[in-house]
Amino acid sequence: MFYLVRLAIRNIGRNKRRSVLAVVSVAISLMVIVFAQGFIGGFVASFVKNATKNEAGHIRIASKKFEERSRFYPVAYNVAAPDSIIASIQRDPAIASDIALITQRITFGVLLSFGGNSRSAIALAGDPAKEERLLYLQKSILPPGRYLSGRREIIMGSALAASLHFRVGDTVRVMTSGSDYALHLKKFVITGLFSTGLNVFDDMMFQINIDDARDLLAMGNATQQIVIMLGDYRKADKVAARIRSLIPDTSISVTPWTKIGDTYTTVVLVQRVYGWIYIIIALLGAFIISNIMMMVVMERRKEIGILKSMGFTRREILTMFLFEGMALGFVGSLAGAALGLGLVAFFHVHGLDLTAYMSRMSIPLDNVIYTTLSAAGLAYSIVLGTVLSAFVSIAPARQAARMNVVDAIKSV
Amino acid sequence: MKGLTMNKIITFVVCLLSAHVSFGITPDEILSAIDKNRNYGAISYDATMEIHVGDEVRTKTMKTLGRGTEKALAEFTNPQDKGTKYLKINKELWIYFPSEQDVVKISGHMLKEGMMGSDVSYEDALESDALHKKFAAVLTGEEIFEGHPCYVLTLDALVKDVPYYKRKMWVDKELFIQWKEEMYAKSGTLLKVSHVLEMKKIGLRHFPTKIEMVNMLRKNTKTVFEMSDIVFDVKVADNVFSLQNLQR
Amino acid sequence: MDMILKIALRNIGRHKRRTFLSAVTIAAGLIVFILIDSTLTGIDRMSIDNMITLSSGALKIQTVTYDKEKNTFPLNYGMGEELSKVRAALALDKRVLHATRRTQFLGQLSNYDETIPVVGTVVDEAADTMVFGLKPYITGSYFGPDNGREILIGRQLAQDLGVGVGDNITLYALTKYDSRNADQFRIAGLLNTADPTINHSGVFITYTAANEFLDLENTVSELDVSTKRNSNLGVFSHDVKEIQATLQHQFPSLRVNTFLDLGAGVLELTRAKRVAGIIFMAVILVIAVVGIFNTVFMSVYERIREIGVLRAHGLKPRDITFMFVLEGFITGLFGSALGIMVGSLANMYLVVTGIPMEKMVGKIATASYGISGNIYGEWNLPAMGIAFCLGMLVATVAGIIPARRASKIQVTQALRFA
Repeated sequence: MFYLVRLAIRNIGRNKRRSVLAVVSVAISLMVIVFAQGFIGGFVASFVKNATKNEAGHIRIASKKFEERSRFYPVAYNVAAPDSIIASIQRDPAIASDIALITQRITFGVLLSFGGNSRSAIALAGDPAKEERLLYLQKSILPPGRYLSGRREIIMGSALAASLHFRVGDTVRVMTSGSDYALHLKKFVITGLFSTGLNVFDDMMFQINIDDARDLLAMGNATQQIVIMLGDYRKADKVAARIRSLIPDTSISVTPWTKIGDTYTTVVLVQRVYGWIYIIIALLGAFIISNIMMMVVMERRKEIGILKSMGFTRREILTMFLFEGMALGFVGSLAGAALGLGLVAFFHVHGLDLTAYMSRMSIPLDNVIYTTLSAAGLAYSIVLGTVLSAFVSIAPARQAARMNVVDAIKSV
Repeated sequence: MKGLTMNKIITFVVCLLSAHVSFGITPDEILSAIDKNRNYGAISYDATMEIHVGDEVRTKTMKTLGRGTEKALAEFTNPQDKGTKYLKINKELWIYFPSEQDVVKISGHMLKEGMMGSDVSYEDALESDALHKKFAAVLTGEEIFEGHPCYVLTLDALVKDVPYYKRKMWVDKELFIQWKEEMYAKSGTLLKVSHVLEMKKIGLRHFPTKIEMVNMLRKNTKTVFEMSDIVFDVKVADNVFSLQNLQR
Repeated sequence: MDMILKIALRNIGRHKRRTFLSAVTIAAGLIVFILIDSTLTGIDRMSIDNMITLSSGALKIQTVTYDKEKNTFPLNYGMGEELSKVRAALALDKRVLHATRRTQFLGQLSNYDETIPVVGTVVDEAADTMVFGLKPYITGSYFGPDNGREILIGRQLAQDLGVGVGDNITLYALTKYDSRNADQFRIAGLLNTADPTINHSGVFITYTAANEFLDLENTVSELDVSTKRNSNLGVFSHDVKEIQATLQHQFPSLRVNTFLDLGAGVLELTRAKRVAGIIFMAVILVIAVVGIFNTVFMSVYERIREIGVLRAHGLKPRDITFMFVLEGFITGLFGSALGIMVGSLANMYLVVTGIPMEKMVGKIATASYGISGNIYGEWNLPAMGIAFCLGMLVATVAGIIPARRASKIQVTQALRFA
């Protein structure tokens, strides 16, 4: 068996140009496949981030009663000591490095009062600096407004403001029922109006500082939600379980994004669709290899004839060509994977900014895609490349094996 | 002779007629009597509102000044709401918040919401319309309700823009107070039931001092409103019931 | 020149298999490109189609006042006499299929334990099925003939309330005259659609029910219109916008919105996905190009001896290069043509019949997302044009470099090349 391998390798070396060509084309296909993997991974990560950042994030810590009634955004069921919970999470060596962002939020329904009328709206209260990386509403602010910086400031959806005849600089009275079941009022100044292009934001929402919300809702130091974003969205279940073990209070629940809403199902859907595309790319790469192998066999008819006349069996010829194909495929896969890895690593750190391709710059989505690195994926690609190369070499190898000796020797 | 007979017949007929009139009270008369009872000039009282939601009870306390059913000023004294004031003038409601020293007007659909999460809506609290204007009343019977002999009146809305299409009242025959009232939706679904739990005689008046309101569509909830230290005909300047006063 | 062409043609004829392989590579690249582009476009189009058939219709017509107040879902500001005039105007345009009236209201659904705020829609049960496609997503049944007390609710909503088909549920709402009403309705069916808003808070009753329950007096808050579907989104959008412009001009007191105006959110997401799609297209093109290049490149090198012979016959290097270019051009032409033809045939199937969504993404889609139906392809002629030209270009150009190199080798060396 081994002599066949040696022969195969020697053959590869003999026709360097052809081998290089084969290796290069496999390498290019593999590079594309590995990059595609990283890109799809990054795209899905971006999708998950955008789908969850406005609501529960990758992981949400909130009271069980809140989660049950989350549809109503209740303010009466809260997390009592959020700062200490956050501190304990940040101190825990097992997960501290997985956390990209951890912040407190309160979302609640209110009545905005103007003139003699009131209109209902939804308040998003959080840490303005951190919300710049989550809600992204600072991207959508219409000039001459500005984003939030201090207390008692509010930014509001442009359509909501228009329906209430509010403008930048106006005072808004926000009235709502607090966690103590009493009615409370607080005045805010509009520093900016945002137009995201999405009705759900522009018609119904406004953002304020969470400390103001705590005052308004008589919440003291408690919070309604602790929202966590991870570096890798795939770790949510594991990290959530770990956080669960850090919080002894059983009235509090720690929920990963996979368990909230339809996002998880959508992600699986998206991955399946892209999975198909991925396979097609791989097949295309394989097709090229088969192309080359067929030509190789065609060109070496004479050589095959000689080998056969020397006594090589059909099976040996088949095996030899198969090895050639596999070896070429393997080398090409390694090279391609290495190149692809380089690309993925680069974009993993620097990110691919797609903002320029979005039709509106003001959409509050994160448009930067960070490719994902996966050792398993890489290994899979290399194996895929090699196996496909071998597979695709079968037909031409068979053809070689079946050649008529005499005709073969006669060919030029 | 003829004249005398004529006279007799006329007298007889008149007697018959007046007999009809004096046999039973009309629904409109009952309603008018109720309305008259509610017209008590100036009043001041302390009140407690207990909001029962499942096992939880939240208690609000307030001091109230009122003039008839058109004007009222209430200031809350329980810790969570301390200093908050409500001003009602006819069908309008304003709320003053001490923390911001600011006033907000409640209108539109919010009036239909329960006040402070209770089963009493702002609309219910603000209601001051003379009932006979918007409802056609029918006397459907007489019942003894919790030991009190009552007229049972059924009111059907005459116009479409009333909060409750149909109402049923148990009115004390002597005192003309509603011991119980059921409020129905257009479909006939029972929406709310109000029930006078306690009544006191203060001076010459009979006044309901403890009222329970139940929202039939919410499970396990009820609101109990109790008044104490009731004083009638207090000296209250009219400008007390004004926005300027509210903001002070 | 003439002679070279003849030689080129003859060479192609002689190396049939090789030529065929090259052509097939080109064709394969093109076919894959066309189909994937069409499928990705089809997936995006599906989201838009879903939006049109579930909530927005192709066009939505309301009064200007209603449009301003629509966030409070008033039962006033309905379309009065304009309604019949608009219907008449719509009937004149052949692209319009059907129009149906609808009215929205705010309400609450209660199972006595829990009360959930909902957005209710009053529908004309017969006409509604001509414009909106809710029926296929119903578990249970659609409105029957005696529907005065029937209701359709979103499946998630039903789950949250712990009710199912056949159960009774209390609906509260304010009537047109702001009087409170509450009544029991029987759940005829549950809706599980691709629109999460319908599944989570959608409630539907008929005008028969609403006239009684809401004192609606047949107030119509919107007229929703369906139009003929065009497989090309650009053309479809253009047609719809044209209809919008005509109507808007005729009826200044009305606000005519198209699905483009109403679905900004959905369209944005579609565009975002498109970017990823474009990157994939580029990737596929790269691979196709590499394949073509490879094949042509190699075939040139395999014929070095032949080149030697030609040189020995007196052909200049320039002529030889040109010969290969010609061969490449012809192969490219053949391959690209083949690719476009087969690709178009396959695409036609995609456009007309489509692929059922379940085949692509499995049961998970229908089970939880309520997506069913087909992904329809779309003709993208500019893209096909680009692919065609690219295929030809690469095939033509790929031979230049190796041919030049090869033709510069000493004739004797070349002849000896094996």
